[in-house]
Amino acid sequence: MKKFFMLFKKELRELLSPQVIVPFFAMTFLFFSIGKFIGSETKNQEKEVTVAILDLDESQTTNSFVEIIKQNNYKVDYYKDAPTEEIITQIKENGEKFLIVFPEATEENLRKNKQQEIKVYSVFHSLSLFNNIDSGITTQIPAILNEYLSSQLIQANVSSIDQIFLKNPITPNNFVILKDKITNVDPTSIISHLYSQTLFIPIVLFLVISLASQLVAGAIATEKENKTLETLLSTPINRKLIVAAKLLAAGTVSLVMAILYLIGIQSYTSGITGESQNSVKTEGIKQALESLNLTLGFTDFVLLGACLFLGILVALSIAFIIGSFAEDTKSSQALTTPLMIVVLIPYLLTMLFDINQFAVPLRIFIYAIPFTHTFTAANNIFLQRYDLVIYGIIYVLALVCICIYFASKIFTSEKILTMEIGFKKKKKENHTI
Amino acid sequence: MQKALSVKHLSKKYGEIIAVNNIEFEINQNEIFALIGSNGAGKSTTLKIVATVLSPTEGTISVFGNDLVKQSSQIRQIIAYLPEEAGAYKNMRGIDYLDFMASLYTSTKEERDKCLEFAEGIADLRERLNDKIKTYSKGMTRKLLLARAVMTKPKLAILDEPTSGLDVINALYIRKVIRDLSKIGMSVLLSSHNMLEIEFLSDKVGIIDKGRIIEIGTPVFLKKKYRAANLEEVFAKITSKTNKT
Repeated sequence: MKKFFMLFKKELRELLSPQVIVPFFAMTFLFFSIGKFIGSETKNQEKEVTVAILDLDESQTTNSFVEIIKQNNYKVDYYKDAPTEEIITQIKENGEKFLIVFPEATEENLRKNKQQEIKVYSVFHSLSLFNNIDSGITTQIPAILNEYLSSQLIQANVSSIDQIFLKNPITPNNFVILKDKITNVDPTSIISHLYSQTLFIPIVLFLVISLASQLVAGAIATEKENKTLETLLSTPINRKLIVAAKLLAAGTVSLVMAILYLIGIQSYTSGITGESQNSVKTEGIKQALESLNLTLGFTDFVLLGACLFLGILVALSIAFIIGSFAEDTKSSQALTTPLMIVVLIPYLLTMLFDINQFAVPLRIFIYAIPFTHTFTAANNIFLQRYDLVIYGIIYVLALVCICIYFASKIFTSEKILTMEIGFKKKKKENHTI
Repeated sequence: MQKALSVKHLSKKYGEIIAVNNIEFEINQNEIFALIGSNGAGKSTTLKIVATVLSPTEGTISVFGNDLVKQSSQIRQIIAYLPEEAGAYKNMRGIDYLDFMASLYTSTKEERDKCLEFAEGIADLRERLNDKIKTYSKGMTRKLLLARAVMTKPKLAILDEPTSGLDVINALYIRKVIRDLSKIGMSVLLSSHNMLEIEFLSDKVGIIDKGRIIEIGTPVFLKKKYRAANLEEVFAKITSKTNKT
């Protein structure tokens, strides 16, 4: 038994190296912080749902509607006697998301047992998951009002009442507002359709960046481990070509793999949602997306392509530098873990939140991570925030140039063979050969 | 006659550690020059510097008149380097590996085919060249790598411990190949801690200890000078003398 414990102790010592422990704690800390952050954001979303109400009827019934909405923990901004367009402009400025319009003669129609249509406007300030998590309000509030009216009708025991009217005295007519565009569509269907499409971009990107980084760092580490690097370095091939070939090969392989993943995921989700079976509905959403400018034109595709390409390139060049420190494939995997964490931060944050609504220091920190620009590119293009896209491209391009410069500097010097992560201070040697 | 290699005041430091300390030697054309010494004496570092893989901290090196620091790309055209314990791309077939390496040195198919033909003769692996390298024994891999190193008929071949870890038959074969190569006009810089092998193989020997070259000469001259039966005895006498001082 003593021998077993000796062996066990030795195995633990081998496994619990700093290269394993540090990324583990970093990951735990990251998930802990993100969890906390998401929790507080969710609470904010729960607390701060404000519904603007434009009461054009100003009747006792519509007043009671307002009271019922308030009783259901919604903050109400009450407007009356104003054009709808003016109120829409105002709620957009206030950062509010919902407007319900009770038209004239609401009370009169309901007294006559006539179904009354109310207009429900949803303003999309961003396309992030948490920003639109409360879009269900557009169906919840009409449901609350219908329940209230139905219970009153049942209490009044009116026998000649139409069943359809009894169930839904109020029918919502939904509109989505994005920037200066308004279209008559259910916001939940727009959101679910948009996510089924745009969620793929960050997933695939995350896969491509992770794969490419590991491949390129592994490629250098394998050359070192198999003792083929010295031979390659002594050949008359320009070393910058070796760098380019490695980056391009890793990029190509990871792109092909990502496309295969994408096809798999897409067929999986279309199987679940059954999108293809509901082509009429899809066509309607497509038209709504077009009218909201939520489709990509040629220039948009070029910009998106540039962002994706630069994102992959910056990951490859950083991984190349990291890989140069690795002595073997095992250490290359451990060394690329921090890079994965850096990719994971914007991946999660941009998927869940609109980072433009964060506090300035946090926003600067997130935008300093080059991958943020890649992950936010699609949403920023949809929301026509072209300035952010262009700045992102310039910033990432500059980083790519710096990283590739350093990567080729390392490869054209002996540092590729002598560099390693250690605690001993070494004298710098700057000969280039 | 132009020297194949001229090394002057060469030093190499890794931080505080001095791997090579102010060494000087020359190799004539068609000559086999061997650096001998114990492990960690500075042999491999010297060879790596000459092969343009590492850079010198101090000193100058000239390969067929080309300065190592300023004209490294020209030097890489005329040298070949076989590192100690070098590996090959294991998932490639032997023949594909040779073809790939030949393509890095040549620009036409004709040139490449010539290299391949020469390499196939040197490697002596016949139909096994069509197998993946990962199925090769150590001796077979070393033969393949030697063939790769010399297939372009470099002016200077730098061979680090060419027979290290090989059985007698494979070691004998590789020694014979090296000898034959010098006869067809190749200069060779090699390192070994196998003194008897060096005695058989080399025209000139440099004995290196703790980063310094402490003696240079032909094997015959050194044996005579130190009244020794072989190079092993020469080495033992020289190093014991330097250790005392």
